[in-house]
Amino acid sequence: MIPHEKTLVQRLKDKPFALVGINTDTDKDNYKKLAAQHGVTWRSSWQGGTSGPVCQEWGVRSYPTIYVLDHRGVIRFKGVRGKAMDQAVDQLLAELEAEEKAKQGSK
Amino acid sequence: MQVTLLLLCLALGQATAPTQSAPQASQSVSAPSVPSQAERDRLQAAWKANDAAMAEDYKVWREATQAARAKGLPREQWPASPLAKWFPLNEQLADQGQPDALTWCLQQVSTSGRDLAAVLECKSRWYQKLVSEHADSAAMEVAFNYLRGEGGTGSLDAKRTLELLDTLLATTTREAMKARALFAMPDVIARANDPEAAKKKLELYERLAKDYPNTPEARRARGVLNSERNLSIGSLAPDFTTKDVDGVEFKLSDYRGKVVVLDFWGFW
Repeated sequence: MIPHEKTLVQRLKDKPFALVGINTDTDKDNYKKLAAQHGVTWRSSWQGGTSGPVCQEWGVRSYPTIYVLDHRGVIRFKGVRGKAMDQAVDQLLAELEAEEKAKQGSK
Repeated sequence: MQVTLLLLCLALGQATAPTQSAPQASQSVSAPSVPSQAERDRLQAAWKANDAAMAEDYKVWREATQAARAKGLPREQWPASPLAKWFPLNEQLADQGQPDALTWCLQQVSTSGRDLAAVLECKSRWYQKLVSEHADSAAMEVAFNYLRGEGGTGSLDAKRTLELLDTLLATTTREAMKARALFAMPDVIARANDPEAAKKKLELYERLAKDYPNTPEARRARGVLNSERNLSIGSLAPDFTTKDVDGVEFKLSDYRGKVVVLDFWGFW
């Protein structure tokens, strides 16, 4: 899972894209060690465990759980992994680019 | 034999009784005279004596089993567990309503060598005593963990389990226990393959969130309700403020204008 997400983050580093983690590990030092080892560069909220506040508010019962949001903050995809996640992100980036082109065109 | 038959009839009668609201059902089953304080003290002292002597017996048994295993003896030659001796003794205390004995017997009854019908009859009767007479006790706390797991194949049926949870909800004065009882119900309903399970779950969670808002169970219920209602595709993602691993605060809405993958994860 992590290598895949690392590739996605690297591929899209110059795009209006962000991977935001909600991390549910319990040992902070161990997390930092593993994050460095695996090259996790993206930001994660620290929940301190799977019953952390954001996990509870979002009713997350299984891990990983993935939501893909568009640039307006609207939930567009749920539970997409691997290649499906890449495609979802590419589609939303294309939408965003098309919208910005249309805006520039109308100026 | 006659007693067994009578018990069986009782158990069957319960299973086929017409639907009525749970608290009524429970009151009609258990209207025994409440034992006096002196009687309860006597029972508790008797349980404590049993408990201490049992600990000693089990210790001796574990050591003898280890020795037998070390000698390489076949399983049939290992010493017998003290359960056969202690179960009838503790059952006497359970039947007189001693809460710790009730909980102990509930935990042990499945391996006591009785047939399933007898096991279920005992469970039904003992849980009933606990939820109606000892709802606020420490023994109930322990027994609750067994009760919420009932309702599946080979255990107490879901209808009876829900009746007991309903009674507990009515009898306990402790908010934490009320919340736990409500939160346990949807899982039991789901085990009964109720076609309305999903709908009932949301109704129970709503009730939980409204009636006992400050409990951990209500927080979890709110999360599930939130994800059913506000986290569907096409909804604006609810914002949250949180701290990252270095303690720096950020909000989900800080990322507005970007495509975001929100990933609930962990290395574990």
